[in-house]
Amino acid sequence: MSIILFSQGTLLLNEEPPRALEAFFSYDARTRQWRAPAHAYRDIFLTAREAGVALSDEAKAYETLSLTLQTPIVPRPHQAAALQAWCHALQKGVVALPTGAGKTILAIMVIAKVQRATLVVVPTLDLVQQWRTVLEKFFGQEIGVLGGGERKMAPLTVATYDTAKLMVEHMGNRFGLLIVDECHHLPAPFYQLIALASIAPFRLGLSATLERSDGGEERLFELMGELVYEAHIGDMVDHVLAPYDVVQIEVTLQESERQAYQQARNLYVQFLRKHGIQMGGPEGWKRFIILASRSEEGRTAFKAYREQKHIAQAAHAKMNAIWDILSTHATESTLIFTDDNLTAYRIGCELFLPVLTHKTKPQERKHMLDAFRSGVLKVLVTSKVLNEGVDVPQAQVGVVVSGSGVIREHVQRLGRILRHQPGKRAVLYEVVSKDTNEQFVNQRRRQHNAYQRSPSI
Amino acid sequence: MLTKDLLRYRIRTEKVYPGFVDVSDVALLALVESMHTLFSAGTTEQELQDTACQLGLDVHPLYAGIKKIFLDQCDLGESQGEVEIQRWKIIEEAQHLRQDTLLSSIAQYQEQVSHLLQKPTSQLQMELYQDLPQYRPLLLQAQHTASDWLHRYNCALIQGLLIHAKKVHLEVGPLSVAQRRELLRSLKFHRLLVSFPEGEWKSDAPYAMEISGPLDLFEKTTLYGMNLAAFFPRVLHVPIWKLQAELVLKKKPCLLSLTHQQGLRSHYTVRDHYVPEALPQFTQTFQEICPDWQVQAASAFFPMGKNTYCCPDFVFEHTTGQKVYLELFHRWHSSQAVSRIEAAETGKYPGILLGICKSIAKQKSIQDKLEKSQWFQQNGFVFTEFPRAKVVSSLLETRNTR
Repeated sequence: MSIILFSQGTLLLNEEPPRALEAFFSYDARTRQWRAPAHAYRDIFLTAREAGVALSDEAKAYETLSLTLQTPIVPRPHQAAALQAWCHALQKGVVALPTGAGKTILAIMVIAKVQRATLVVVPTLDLVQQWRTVLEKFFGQEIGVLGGGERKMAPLTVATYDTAKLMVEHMGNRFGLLIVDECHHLPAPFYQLIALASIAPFRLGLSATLERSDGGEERLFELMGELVYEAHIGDMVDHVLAPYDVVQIEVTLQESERQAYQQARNLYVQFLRKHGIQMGGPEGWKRFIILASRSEEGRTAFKAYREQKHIAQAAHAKMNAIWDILSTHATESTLIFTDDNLTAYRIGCELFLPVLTHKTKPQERKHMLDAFRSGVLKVLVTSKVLNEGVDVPQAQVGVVVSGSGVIREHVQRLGRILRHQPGKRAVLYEVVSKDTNEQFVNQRRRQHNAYQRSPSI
Repeated sequence: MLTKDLLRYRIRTEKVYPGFVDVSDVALLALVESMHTLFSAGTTEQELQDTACQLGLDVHPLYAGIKKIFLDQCDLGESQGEVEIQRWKIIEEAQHLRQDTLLSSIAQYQEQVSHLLQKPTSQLQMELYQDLPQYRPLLLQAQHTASDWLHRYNCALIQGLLIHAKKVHLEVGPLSVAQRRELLRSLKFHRLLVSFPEGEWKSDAPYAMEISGPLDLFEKTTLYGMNLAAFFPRVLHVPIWKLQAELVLKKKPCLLSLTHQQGLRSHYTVRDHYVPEALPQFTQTFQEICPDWQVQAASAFFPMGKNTYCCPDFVFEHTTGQKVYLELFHRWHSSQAVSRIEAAETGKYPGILLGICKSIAKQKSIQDKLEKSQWFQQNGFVFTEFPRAKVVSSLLETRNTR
């Protein structure tokens, strides 16, 4: 009987593969063994079973569990539909639901259904802690954590992408169910290994925003299974998500800022014109970077590009706009988003506000988030670390002080304030410097359907 | 290693030309010395940046890259006082004020907070986030000469490029057994696999290998670029070498070619020069008691499959031309002992003997293997510090009479 083993994110066969399995294995002259990628595990065994080939499985090292839900779940219609679609797709695939639509609860339902050792992969340490708390609550057992200095494996384990990537070659056979949260990150070259080197036959990808500028969605579906269920913000507002308004506030640059902006902008635009660079798409940006690095003039143009962007994003009048918003919503939980840490800390220092960035120590991050969730803190300033996943249901007001033109980022930021609560109406303010490139960036990100429906635009 | 934004290179006709620095360039050495002085002063990154700006160092095109090399060698000191407690106090008092009092402007608000906490606004603002990494003192952990820092820069530049490598072709010149072991051990440590050409790895001829990761058999990607980059400084311990890396830069394939002649230097510790004192004594005594056998340091190398390689320490050549190889396992080289016996048990390597040091022979897994292996009982032995010539000679004679 052929024996199949797990080794460094691949599967090894102890002898030449039977005819039915030839398509999966390649002869590896480096080690003189027959090798297959670990993610082919499920198909290998299904094919072997169909062909009547006996295989001894020494690869699998995960447990079948007897999990019981400590807190009963009554699924919402879209969650039940998503679970059904995922089961129909042979318990493999991607589900796209807006933030606040209950992706985590769907994952809990999937874990309870599959009853296999599970690895949940998440992008940030805040999300690790959030998933750990939820899994503990629903399954009443100790949860393993890999990341942020912790290295503890358990039948239910949560890991950051970075740690999972480093460890998957050793532990890729220890989990039967792989759940990848915010799975739009997975196609990144360094993260693909997490799915490739794992044998998990059951896979669930979760995301609110699958769009990738590099078209990596197809790769995601190869790694995690097809898109099996999708719903948009517009479909869920009022009954699942809080109703919301988007308000744009335009501020005027001070005279000195306007002059400096114009000077830098002219330098930058002249360079673009001289070299015929169209900044409409990713190719234009790439060309600009390449040409900018080749000459002193280019370097000056690049510096000017950064300067004009910074002036627009950090305009002095924006501080007053933030102050006005905070005064209007003094008792409501407010998240302030910036494009960079420097601006976040500048706002924090100017207005004596708590700032949460990737530089905040893990313990204090938890403290800040807990205080914000419990209402002790009413305002939190952040750059990008809270864009994704972190559950702050109380947040009612969002203020985008600066951001990129990436649609995904803005949908995610909007999602932070849309968790449904009785009587809640959310509002997202976008503070934009008038007569600057920020206005175009803002228009670009409004192309998403979440913005198309808002009555306040 | 250098991050993508700091890599300096050119691409011409699909070939990559790294922007190496001249480690003897006087102006660069002066820049590094100035930076070394700044980094040794125990200042914060912010202060360091300000000073570098005042001195005009930051306009140098290599400043950011060299700064990264220094930063990689720094730890962060603790900030003074209880910053976190103070921060929460300021934040909470300010929040109460915003909620309880009608304030018309930011200036009025700041004034009230200042009054409440009995400190000027500027001081409060300065204290609020002074425990951020950029405000904590940098503690330089390594002292190198200016030229050593530049060598580090060049190595880090290549490592930064190799992160984008799909595959590496490495050709090495003559290596000692210890050097080979070190190279192979390092490849395994970095979870890389090697394709070796058929035939013996001769001591006087170059030897080529192709290095990649396990999944590269199926996925032509840069999944193992980080492993290749981390392995690279180990290549620099090899006296003569040639390396070609298949890279993907700016989404296009290109080739990076390097050789020992470029004078790159490794910052990894060399671990391959230990020669047991008993070695010369062993060869001399053996030759005296076994004149029919010639003993020499071995240059042979046997890839045994399953990612195991045998690098024998000695080769014994009989007057009839028969060759027998002896590989010794000491306590610093123990992890492969069991798999080596298992490979030898397949019968594919009849000319190999194994010597196992007593200290590792006591380990449970090895002890069990030694007791159960008929092959080891006929072709192996246990030694204390170094094998006795008499034990080896009698084993050779026994083999010859079998």
